Amino acid sequence: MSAATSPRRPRRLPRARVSGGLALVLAAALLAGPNAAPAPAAAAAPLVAPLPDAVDVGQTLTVRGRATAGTTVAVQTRQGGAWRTAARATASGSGAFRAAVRFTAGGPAQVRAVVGDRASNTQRLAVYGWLDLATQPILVGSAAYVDVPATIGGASFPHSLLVQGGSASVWWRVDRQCTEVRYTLGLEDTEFPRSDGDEEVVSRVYALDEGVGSASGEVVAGWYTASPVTLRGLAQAERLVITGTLRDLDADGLSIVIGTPRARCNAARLGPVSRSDTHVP
Amino acid sequence: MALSPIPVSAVPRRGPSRPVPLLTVVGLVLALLVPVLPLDPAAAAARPTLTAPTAVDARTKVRLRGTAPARTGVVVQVRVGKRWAPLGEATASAKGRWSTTVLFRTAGTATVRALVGKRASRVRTIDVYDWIDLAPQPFVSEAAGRDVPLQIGGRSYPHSIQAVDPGTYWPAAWRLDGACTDLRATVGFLDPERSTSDQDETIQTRAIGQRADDTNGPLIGPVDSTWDAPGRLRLSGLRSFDRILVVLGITDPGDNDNLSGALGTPQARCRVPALPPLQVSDFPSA
Repeated sequence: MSAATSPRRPRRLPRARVSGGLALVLAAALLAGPNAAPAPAAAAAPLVAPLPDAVDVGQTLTVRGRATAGTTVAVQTRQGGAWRTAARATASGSGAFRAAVRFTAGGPAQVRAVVGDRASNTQRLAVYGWLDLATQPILVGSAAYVDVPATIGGASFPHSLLVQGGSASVWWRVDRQCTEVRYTLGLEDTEFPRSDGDEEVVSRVYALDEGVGSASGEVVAGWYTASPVTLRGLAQAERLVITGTLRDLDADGLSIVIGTPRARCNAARLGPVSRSDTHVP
Repeated sequence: MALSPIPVSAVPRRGPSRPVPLLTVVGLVLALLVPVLPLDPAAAAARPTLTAPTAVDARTKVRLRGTAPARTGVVVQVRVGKRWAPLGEATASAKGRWSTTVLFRTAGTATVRALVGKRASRVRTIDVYDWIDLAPQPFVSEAAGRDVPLQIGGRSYPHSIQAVDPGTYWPAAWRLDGACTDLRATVGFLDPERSTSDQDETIQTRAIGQRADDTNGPLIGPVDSTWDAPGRLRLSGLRSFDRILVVLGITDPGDNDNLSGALGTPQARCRVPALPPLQVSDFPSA
């Protein structure tokens, strides 16, 4: 039984110890400051500090915020579906918390913190990932192998497009979600025996919005030559089109290789492209 | 090694002056045997058995059966990568029979076994079939819009393929590698293009399976599609084929060159979640 509940008169503490205890209480009150409030019965809603506008898939995003000291904070993310807990952290004595989060897929994301049943404000950010364009909704203007492995100069290019017929146009709808497109231009090694060896392929990529927003320079590739093509600054592009033309074409059935076309997009999947999307302003 | 009972006569006697009581010997022998021998010797000796169908449909309940020592708990496991994960549980009856129902969610080949304690049954493999969309799979075709939602005959078809200016011959082909049994698709004209047509056109669709040795199966079709009556393409018995070729052609008395044909939500029933990539050598000419 403790002294406080004893029916007997409590023993008097020695003066020095009382003074010391008082001093401790006073010091604690002073340290806590004028704004210190008594501990709340339930944890207050946490707060998430502003996040960067965009991150890349696989990049570590540090989420900082404040919550009731000592509480466990669940940092949750959402990309189109339900909220998922991506990390947990414990708020420090000052109430600050920090947690590392990584996204495994591209697309607009939301981030919040949850303590118990109290959720914080929601922060939004773009998550950019590289999409294989050969696996996306696509419109090809001529005969084509879609999503096949190709070989240019002995190097393998998975998820490629092999377009036949002497000229190529391949379309995607990017809806202002992408920033950059890359591919490797070339001719398929295995088709060399059917050629007379002097063919070349020329290609450009165009970013289209209301007009032709931007375009790459003309890129040329001969046999066993892999020519990389890059176009940046696509943020306003609604559609992408890669064109290619074979020069000095004497043999039938040669393919233009658009090797592993990829785009850096704030999307997990591109939208469908229709025939009406293929007009050029 | 199993212990054999020790005959009482084999126990040495120390002499008549200090006879060892028979009861003590029996007690000692039993005491030695009890920790070694299980209460039910059959329970330890018998491995569970597992009987499973060789092919099932995804998301359909499947009953697995087998035998196990009476009244023992049986765990059915499925191989996930290099590990075994629990799939179902059962308790063997007094007669030593057990059964349980399980569910496979995606296409693939499932490897399963039954487990009693640490004793496992023989491993069984089950082909799990599901209908997969062909529009997002690797394919070869003439000019096409791939994986688009289309309207055909007043109905919506997600994950479709638009044949752009198909003319009289528009092929599309996939590599199946013998992993698929059936194919289905709706074939027709696109509703948004109805106003540009005199609506007397017909799409004729044919399909043919090709084996690895480049021999062909029987030609299927033609399946006719009109503006008001989309065609239903249904193929079965594809298991022996490595590739499937579908060909559309528009019969167009009015000679309207700009019409599209559509393969509405083409799907194949396969035991793989995704088709393999095509090789250029699969189809020498697109």
